[in-house]
Amino acid sequence: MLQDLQHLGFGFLAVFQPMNFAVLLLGLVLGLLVAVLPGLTLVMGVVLALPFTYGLGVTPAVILLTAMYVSGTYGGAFTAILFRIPGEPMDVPLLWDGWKMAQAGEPAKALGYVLFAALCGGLVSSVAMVLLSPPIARLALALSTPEYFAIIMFGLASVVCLGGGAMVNALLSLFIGLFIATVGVDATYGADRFSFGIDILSDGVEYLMVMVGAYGLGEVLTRLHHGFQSEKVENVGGIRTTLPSLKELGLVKGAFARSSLIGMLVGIVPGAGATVASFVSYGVEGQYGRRRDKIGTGIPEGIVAPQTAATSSVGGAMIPLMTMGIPGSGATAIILGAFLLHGMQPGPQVFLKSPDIVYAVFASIFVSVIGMCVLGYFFIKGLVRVLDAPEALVSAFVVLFCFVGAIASRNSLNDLWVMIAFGILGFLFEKYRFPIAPLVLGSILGPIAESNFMTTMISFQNDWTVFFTRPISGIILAASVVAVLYPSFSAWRRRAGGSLETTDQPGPRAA
Amino acid sequence: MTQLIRRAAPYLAIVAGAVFFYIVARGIEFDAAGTGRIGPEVWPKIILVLMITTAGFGVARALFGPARLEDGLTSSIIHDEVETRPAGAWPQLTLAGIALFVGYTVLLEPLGFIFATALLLGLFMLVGRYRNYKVILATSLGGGLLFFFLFKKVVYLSLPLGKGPFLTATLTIMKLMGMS
Repeated sequence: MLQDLQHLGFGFLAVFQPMNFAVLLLGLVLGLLVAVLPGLTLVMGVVLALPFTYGLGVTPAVILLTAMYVSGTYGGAFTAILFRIPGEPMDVPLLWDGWKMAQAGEPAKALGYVLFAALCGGLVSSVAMVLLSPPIARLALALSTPEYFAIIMFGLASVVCLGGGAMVNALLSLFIGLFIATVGVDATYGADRFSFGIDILSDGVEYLMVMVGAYGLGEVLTRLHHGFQSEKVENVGGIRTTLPSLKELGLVKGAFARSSLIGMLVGIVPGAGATVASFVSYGVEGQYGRRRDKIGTGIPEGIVAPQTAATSSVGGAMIPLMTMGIPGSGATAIILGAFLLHGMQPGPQVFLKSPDIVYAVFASIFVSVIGMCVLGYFFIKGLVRVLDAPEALVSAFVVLFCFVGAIASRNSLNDLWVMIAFGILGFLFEKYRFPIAPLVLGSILGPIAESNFMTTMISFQNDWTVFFTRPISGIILAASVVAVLYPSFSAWRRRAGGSLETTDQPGPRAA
Repeated sequence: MTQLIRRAAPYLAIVAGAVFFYIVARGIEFDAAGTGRIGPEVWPKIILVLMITTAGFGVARALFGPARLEDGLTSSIIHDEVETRPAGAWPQLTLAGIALFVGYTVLLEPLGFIFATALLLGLFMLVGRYRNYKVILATSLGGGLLFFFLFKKVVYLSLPLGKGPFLTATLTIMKLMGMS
């Protein structure tokens, strides 16, 4: 424990080195901007920033992307509360009480509650992250390839279960992502697979092209398909944040505590990011909160619950990423990509052998949480003004960043064709309601899953039952199957007229 | 009937593709063949079999099942709360956008980054139905120059300089920017 605190202290020293601090500040600003801007999502913003971290060391690269991730969970709250435009899906619950409070003449107070919620959630989950990660990393060291394979399968199953789109479509998206990762030369035997003699494919499909293409170009094409119809905003002039008093904060301390815990726990589950955390926390507040009968009418608890959980989920999502190399959310999948780009596979080995990097990242999250609140408090007016930027103009530059990011990857113009192909695929996925997250995660984790699978099969003389007979991997694989089948089972029960699932269905209550 | 086929079309395409790749996978060769160890074709075959099975299920659901498939947990909560996509569709804009992306990739080497990017930015804004021509001109020209400087001088990316007169123009601009 003392050693962990010592590492954390060194981590803070590393964060305040000029380069690391500069990229942290840049990341905070970019994260706030992408959360506010129409046509840009948090994950898209992190994806676009990823190629530009090539020239940075692994620590500043991860600090930049993590800072974007942290501040991106906060920025979208402004537009949700002030203009009823959720910056991200995670901000939807803020419409029900935040917008209502703003309509009642207290927008500044609503923004104040959001600020404290983000601060509280972020700091609590950061502390939990520092406390829980070392024992989990040591536990992960005892795991072998069958268990790692099972954990990855559970992570992918969670993304399928918890994400958007129909289950069949989510599964197909995942399988396509896993298949794409097999193109090129395989790692075990060096055999050429599915390249058909085409040079572009012989080197394999870079997952960066999948990410930038599907998330970046795909989203732009989808918005272009709808004619770039973003809403105008008015009355930016009077916007400010008013901090609630200590007494007012004391009245919602229960909501702070519950939501911090919920956010952190949900964040740990692979595939369940800030959006799920936000909705679940709001639902729990509506079911068990002290003023649950008033939720949805513009009360502080309705603001504190989702925002605290959303920011708290960041710390939770970093735990499986740093200790086992399993991303806990879409954004952490991109951060995993940053590690891989710099030749590092996060997990127990890196955690225990390179604690300087790990704890610098942890320390950066603490600083990011505080920094984002400071920036949000003082610069909210400027941030919100970017909403006036025409979506076509913003999207044109997003496209440019996609192309430059693709060039930066391997300095090959051939990669642009691959990226365009995935951009079209991303558009088609959106059109036919196939979620993109499983595709991207499948392409990132596919090689790792295959490596663990092949090593296990070779080590255990082709005995595939070992995945199920070893207790830990057997239990995790069983949980994966349950995760995949649960939504279908739940839907069947609803159709059969069974009792309604208490899945924290949120929504405003009648006053 | 047309509606049903349209609903099943994506799944049928996936089944067809997966079957094709499964046949290709059967021909993958590797050095340790015959030693009893599983080969590099096993993992992709497993994925393709799962894909065929799931897509086949999707075809069956599309043809005989309910009009709407059940959503994942997140969608089932978010779906009706907020209209996530505006109404209206302009497929011709999408095709124009794709054509721009292809054109940019083709023209990047001959025109060089600055000119190709200025063209991409300007035309994309026009395709995106933005009609403030002064802003379009300023941002496309300015954007091409600014990001060339940013990516070349600050991020140290290797960007295409163009050919012929475009190369000459780019080198002149670089000299004016103080770049060697």
